[in-house]
Amino acid sequence: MFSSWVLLVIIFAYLLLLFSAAYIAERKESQGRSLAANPYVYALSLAVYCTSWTFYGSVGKAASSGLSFLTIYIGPTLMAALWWVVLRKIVLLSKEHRITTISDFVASRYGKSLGLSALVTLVAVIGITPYLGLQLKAIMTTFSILSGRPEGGHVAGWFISLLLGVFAVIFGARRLDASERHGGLVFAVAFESAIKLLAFLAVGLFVIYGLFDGFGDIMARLAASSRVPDSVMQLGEGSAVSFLEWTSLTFLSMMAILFLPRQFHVAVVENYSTRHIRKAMWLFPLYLFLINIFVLPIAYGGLLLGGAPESADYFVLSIPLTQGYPILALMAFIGGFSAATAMVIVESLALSTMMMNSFVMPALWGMKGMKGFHAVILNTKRLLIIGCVFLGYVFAVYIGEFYSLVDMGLKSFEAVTIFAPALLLGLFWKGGNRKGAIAGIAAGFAVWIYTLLIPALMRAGIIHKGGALEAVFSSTLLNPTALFGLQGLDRWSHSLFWGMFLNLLFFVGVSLFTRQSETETRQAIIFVDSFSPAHFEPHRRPRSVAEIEGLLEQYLGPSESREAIDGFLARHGLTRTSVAGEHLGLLRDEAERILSGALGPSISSLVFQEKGVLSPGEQTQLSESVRRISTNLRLSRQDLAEANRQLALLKEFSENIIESIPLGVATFDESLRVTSWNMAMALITGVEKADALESDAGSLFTCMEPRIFSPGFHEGEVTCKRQFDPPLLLKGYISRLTGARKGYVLVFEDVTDKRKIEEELFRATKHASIGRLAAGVSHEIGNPLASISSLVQELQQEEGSAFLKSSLATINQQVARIARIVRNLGDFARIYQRQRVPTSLQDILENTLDLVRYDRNFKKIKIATDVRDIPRLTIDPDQMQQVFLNIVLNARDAMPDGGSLSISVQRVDGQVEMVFSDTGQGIAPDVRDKIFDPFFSTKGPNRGTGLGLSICYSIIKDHGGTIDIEPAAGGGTRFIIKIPIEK
Amino acid sequence: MRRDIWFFLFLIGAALFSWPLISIFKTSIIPYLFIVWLLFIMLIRVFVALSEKEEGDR
Repeated sequence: MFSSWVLLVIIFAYLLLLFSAAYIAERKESQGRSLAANPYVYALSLAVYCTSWTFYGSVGKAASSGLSFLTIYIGPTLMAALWWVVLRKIVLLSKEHRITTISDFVASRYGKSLGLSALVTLVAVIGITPYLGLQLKAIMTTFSILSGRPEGGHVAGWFISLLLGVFAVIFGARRLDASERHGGLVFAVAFESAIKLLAFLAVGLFVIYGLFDGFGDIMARLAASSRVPDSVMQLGEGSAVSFLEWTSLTFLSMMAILFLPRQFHVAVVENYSTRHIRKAMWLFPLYLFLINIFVLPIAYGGLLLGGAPESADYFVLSIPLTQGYPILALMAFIGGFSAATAMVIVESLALSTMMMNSFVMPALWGMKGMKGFHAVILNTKRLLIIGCVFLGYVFAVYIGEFYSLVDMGLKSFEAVTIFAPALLLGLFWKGGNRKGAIAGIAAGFAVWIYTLLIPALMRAGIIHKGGALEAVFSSTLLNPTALFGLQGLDRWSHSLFWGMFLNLLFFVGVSLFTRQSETETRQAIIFVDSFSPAHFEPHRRPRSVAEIEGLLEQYLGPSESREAIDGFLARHGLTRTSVAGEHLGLLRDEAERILSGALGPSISSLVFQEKGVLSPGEQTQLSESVRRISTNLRLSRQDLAEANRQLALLKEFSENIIESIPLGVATFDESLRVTSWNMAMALITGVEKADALESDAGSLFTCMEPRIFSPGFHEGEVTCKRQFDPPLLLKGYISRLTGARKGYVLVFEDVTDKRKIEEELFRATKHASIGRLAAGVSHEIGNPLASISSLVQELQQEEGSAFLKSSLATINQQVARIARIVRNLGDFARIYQRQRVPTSLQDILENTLDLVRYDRNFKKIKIATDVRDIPRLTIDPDQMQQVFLNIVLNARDAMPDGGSLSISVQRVDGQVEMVFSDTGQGIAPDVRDKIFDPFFSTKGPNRGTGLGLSICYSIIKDHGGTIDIEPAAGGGTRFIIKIPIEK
Repeated sequence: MRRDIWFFLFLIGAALFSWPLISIFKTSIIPYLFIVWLLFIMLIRVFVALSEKEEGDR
């Protein structure tokens, strides 16, 4: 045991050590050699999370309720894995906007709403004060245990509360710029984290190896003892903690590590670099692991040594004390004291800043013109810090005795979890708005009060059961521990479920059905999309440096404002007289951020709105200009949208035209890669669009002759020789594209059919002209020739000399020849109308072959016929026979030394196709086009009139058919005649 | 490192410390929790090192 005075002196000495550590850290920081600006100190400062609840309460929980204490540390470990995404974003946003509390963060996200900030602060103060009291309760209780004087605890608690308040004021509120980091405070907190870890490990090692023979020994004795029930060493069914409770507590602690005001303060406000977060992501969980590693041995050891589960909260202290190790007990007391004081100092600073920004500053707003206003603000804040500490003290003294450490801690965790939907969703969902956030937080807070606070106050006797309350609380629907009849949940899971359900429902629902203000929209974009507000901040033009300095001076005092201005000028290499234009705007933004740190963003925004740099007249003009610009912009947007729509329609229209035209169109970039390829081009070239796009043009037009991409080719005919199909005759045009997209456009027109038609037309015209001439000649010559022939035949009947007789015979012979020519001309000109009757082609063909079959010239020619099933055709049988005969006789003339003539007749696609194929000498390509011309003959003089094939051509054309000639496969010639079948 | 990676890591941890996985180790839950906890911290350390290396490479 230690006397109270000795303990107080030790406490005072420890606090002096803490003051010294903080003071040295601040000195070093002012010299530019910050002790706090390193990741290890940052990670240790985060361990302010481990309060007296951890130091004492975890052991108590492990001894009485099993393993659920681990959730309080596993939750933050899990959340640490997301810090690089979530915490880093919060830190960057907070630094940019000089946000110093969680209430300001939430308020800033939802349009710098003062009401929302006040609501968050209210929830935090009501939710956290019991937690603050819990620390002071732990200090007082352990003081009593160590001094052996229960009555001394309250006095010591009062004294210690005062000292802690002073410490927080000195290192946390010496100046008003709350956004400035407190290197001394952070270092002191980190120092305390190291002390409490060492103290706890020392007690743990003492219990395991000093009182027992290792952890195995403890477990062996446990197995043999009945002092520790199995239920505290298990999870789930049959244990002290269900899986649902385990999950709920893990979730609560995940939220607590982000949203407890003190955690926000050390993790966000006191962060020196976002790189430190990365180190803390594993160092802080490692700290949690180490400080918990001996919790179970101490708890089980304490129980085995005869300790009662109800007093297990203080096993860490009582075991060394009862086992006769007072120095170790003192060390444990210092460890627990460190855990509690660090929390009290940081939490009171954070809560006071929240109250200052949300309640006090708006209340003092009317006094802003008062001389020395900055001193009023600063001293009010100092009083608030001390007030927060003493509020906790009052709670610890008057209410704390009814609750365990863990109970009070978990209520605080539940309270701060209320911020989770608005804050976390607000970081990633732009749709959330102020009304939704207020509704959600209010709903969550109402559930927290009803399901956790009221039952707790009833248990403490502060709210008395009975009367109407009794009826309400014991009803099925409104039972605070089984709300709306939901039973079977532990109280933490029950409160968490209803709180989160209603919170989310109201937050999302109200946000979806209400509109955001412009400020809210802007803030939502800043918070969700970007870490920097630079693009969104309107450029306001302050009048002068002096005005900004005066503004800061009003709230921060002369030295602080001068320092802030000088710091800005030094950073930008400016002097007071050289600040102008953009720099003046930057200085104004800097000043707003500094004030935001001191007064909160809502008030800071108000200050700068009020200190508008425009006169009322200018403001009116500006408003009018903005209104006009907005109107014009709205109209422009409509015009732009309409133009865009028209452009899209035009584009679609053009594309449809290019796709549907029968011309092949392709475009190429400057390196001759295909950029577009229409359907006709795909048909012409046989290359599909998907294969052509992005391909090199050279690889796509290999069939073309001449080469279309050769220099000098702009327009001309090209032939595309295809492997299996007849060649195509194309007309190509290449032109250069100018404008933004340079390159080439190639247009192909397939003129194969057109050229064939042209040739047919030319031939038909020629035949018609010659036909008219032939008809005239036939008529004019035919009549006199008939007279001459009659007279010659008359004269031959008369007596005369042998010479006369011989001459008349010659004349008659030549006249007969002329008559034959004239008759042929008449046939060619078709001057004799013939009758067409349904006739069998097979019969005509057989008759024709019968005529020539016995001709001696056909002796050496083998004739083969292949006539398929064909219908009768309405034709002139004599003319058709003439056609067949002409072709057969031509074949004979082409095969003077013999050969074969094959004739096939078949039905093909609504036509009858007749093919005469000989094995003769063939027809030279250069005469093939002239073979149907009248009077054209390859047989030499006196061997034909050159009208035979012309007559055939005319007859077939007359029947609506076609006649073509082409080389036969094995040499020779093929005549192909096609005559349509009449329907 | 993409932020999905951190969410992936978080989900691994959440699964390891939640029902039904922890119910599998019901009989040896204490060693399971402490071993998995330490391994998860080491996993975070590895991911942090990877992200630092990636940043250094850039």
